[in-house]
Amino acid sequence: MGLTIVALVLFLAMVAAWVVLPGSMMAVPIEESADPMPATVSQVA
Amino acid sequence: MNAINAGDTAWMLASSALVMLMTPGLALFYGGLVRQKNVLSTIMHSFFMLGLISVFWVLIGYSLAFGPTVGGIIGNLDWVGLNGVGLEPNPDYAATIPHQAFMIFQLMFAVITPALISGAFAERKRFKSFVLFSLLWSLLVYVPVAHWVWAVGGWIRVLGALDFAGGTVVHITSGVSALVCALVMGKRVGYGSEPMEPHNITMTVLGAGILWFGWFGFNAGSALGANGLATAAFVNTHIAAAMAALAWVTASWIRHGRPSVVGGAAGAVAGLVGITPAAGFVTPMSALIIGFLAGVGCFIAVEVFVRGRVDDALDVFGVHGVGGIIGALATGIFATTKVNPAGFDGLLYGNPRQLAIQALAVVVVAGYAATVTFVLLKLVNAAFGIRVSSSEEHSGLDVSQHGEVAYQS
Repeated sequence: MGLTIVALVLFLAMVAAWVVLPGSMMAVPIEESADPMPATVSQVA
Repeated sequence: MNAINAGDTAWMLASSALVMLMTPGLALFYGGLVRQKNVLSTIMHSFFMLGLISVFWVLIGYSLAFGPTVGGIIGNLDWVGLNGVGLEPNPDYAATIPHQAFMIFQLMFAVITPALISGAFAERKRFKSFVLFSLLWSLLVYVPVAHWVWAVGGWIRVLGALDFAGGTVVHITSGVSALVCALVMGKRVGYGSEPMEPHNITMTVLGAGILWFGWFGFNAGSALGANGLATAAFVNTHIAAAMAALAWVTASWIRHGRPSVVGGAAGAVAGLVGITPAAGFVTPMSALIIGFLAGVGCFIAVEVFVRGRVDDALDVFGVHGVGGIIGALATGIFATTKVNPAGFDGLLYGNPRQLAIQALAVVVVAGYAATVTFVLLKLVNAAFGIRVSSSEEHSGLDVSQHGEVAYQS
């Protein structure tokens, strides 16, 4: 039981870390990150 | 005469195939981490071992590693050329499978071990020197250590050290030797002053996945039968890798502010290394903690102590050396005879002596591997030169050593 508690604490500590750690390197708004490439072949032509 | 068990034999042949696949998996894992101009040479460092060490093993390596002992130091020559290694079981090693099945399983371990070292000297080692070094290293480091730890009468085995699937024999020998290689060969041209980013992380993750898959044969196959012990090793292997991957990603997220994909792959491998000596001796919860220790411990070793100081190009020491040491010591802490009556209890189960024995085995094997590797590097360097010229290094080893390129533009 002792090892289970230790393992559970380690796991929950990591989950807690994921919650508070930064979620994005770029932090770019969605509209600015849109793919600039043409959407269709006809647009290329 | 011992009877051959069909289930055990099927499992051991399948496990041998799984371990075989680890070497191409390692080739992809390492190949993705190097620059584009060196991917073929890096892959070749692993793939070539499948040929070289397989032939070496059946001719003489197996006899020296597992043959009848000479003073606990080395096997004799009774089984040279597989003489006497037939289809009847050898009860000293595996009483329910053909002796050749045990031999081929061990062959796959011998193949991948020198391939692991190649990550330390990636992007700068002369191919012919690599071939000679790998052959001599297998003969003078892998074979004796395998005998000491695993062979009947081997002196470390007699001492009582536990190594279920090769934490000491495979990972400490290769990891410590890798560190010596990196120190002796010196840094790559431009190391620290120009970017040396992985050229294909998808390849690396695929390689890590293949390694993880093959590791089930490596560890669960080391039970040498299709039984409960194999199941315990299988379960422990998976959960240690899973926990280590989470731990490494978390550590890199905290340190660098991003959950690294390469870190996830490296973490899984660190966990697999860490659980290797313990896989058949510990409970699943112990495996989980070992995975965590391996993930965080190897991350710290790579990021804090090695990188920037030593050009261990693909972190072989940080992952395999440190992971192997963590696993060997953790076996001395978490081992329990409730999982494997053939083993011993560890510190946590009232036997502190086991931890001392594990530590002694680590020190002796690491010291021996480091010393012999150093001497071999000096000898090979005197014979051929171990390092390519700086112009060849600039051109890349794919062209300068093999006359081929990986990708046509």
